[in-house]
Amino acid sequence: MSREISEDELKIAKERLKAMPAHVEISIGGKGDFSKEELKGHLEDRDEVGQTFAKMQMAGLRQFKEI
Amino acid sequence: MVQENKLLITRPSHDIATHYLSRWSKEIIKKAQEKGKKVIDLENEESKAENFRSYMTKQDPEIAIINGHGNSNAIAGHKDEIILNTEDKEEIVSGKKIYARTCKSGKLLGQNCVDNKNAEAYIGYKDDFVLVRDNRTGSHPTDDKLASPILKASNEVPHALIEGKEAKEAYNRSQQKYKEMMKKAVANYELDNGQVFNALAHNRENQVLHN
Repeated sequence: MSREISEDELKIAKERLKAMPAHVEISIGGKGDFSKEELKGHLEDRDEVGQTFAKMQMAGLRQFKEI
Repeated sequence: MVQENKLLITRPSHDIATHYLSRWSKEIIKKAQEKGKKVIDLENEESKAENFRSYMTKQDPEIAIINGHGNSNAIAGHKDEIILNTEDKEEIVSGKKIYARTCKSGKLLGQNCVDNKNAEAYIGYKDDFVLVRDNRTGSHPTDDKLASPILKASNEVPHALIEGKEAKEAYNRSQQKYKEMMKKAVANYELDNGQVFNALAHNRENQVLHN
């Protein structure tokens, strides 16, 4: 099982989500498709959907310097 | 002996994500046909387990492109019916190059296929495969400019395999395509707040090759 997101990673993910435009939705495999409002709830719950969204944000930060 | 002129592709389309994968896979089919390959296209309800296993065994395609949902041990077809798992027989995947555009199967099933089922190679993802969508696009996934870079990068694996490249080169080309798409996504960062870039980064990081 992958590690749970840290408090700092959760904060970063929440801030990134705040700025996400309303027309953007995230599809996470078989878990479904999520609007900004729905992702907010999943981040609060720190469930699998929230964790995947947070992992996406961290992956972007890690790889930004490679581009 | 696998049939080098044959390619099998599964295209379930029972939810938004699989609908996107299905529509974006049409360009893979077109390329395979242009290269003279016989394409076994298991679309919609045809992508059920019985069909998949029968065609993989009897038609023996060299390349199998599997779209759908999955977990660490299994991949699914129409309405999430499991079509391949770690318990399955070797004959289904033996000698084949497999690309699984599914969540997580790259973590365990991929290695299992190579180590225990004699697959030549397995390219997949070890975590969730994510897409970013523009909910204003409507029912035409190929018009979705947010999803486009993500599907183009992930389509590079089958494109390379169809050209006759080995799995390692197909994997490397896809990794490069991800990077190329990420550079373009930076230019559009403000339009989607970088979520396309992040999705590309996440999928790129989790794409794995077993051979």
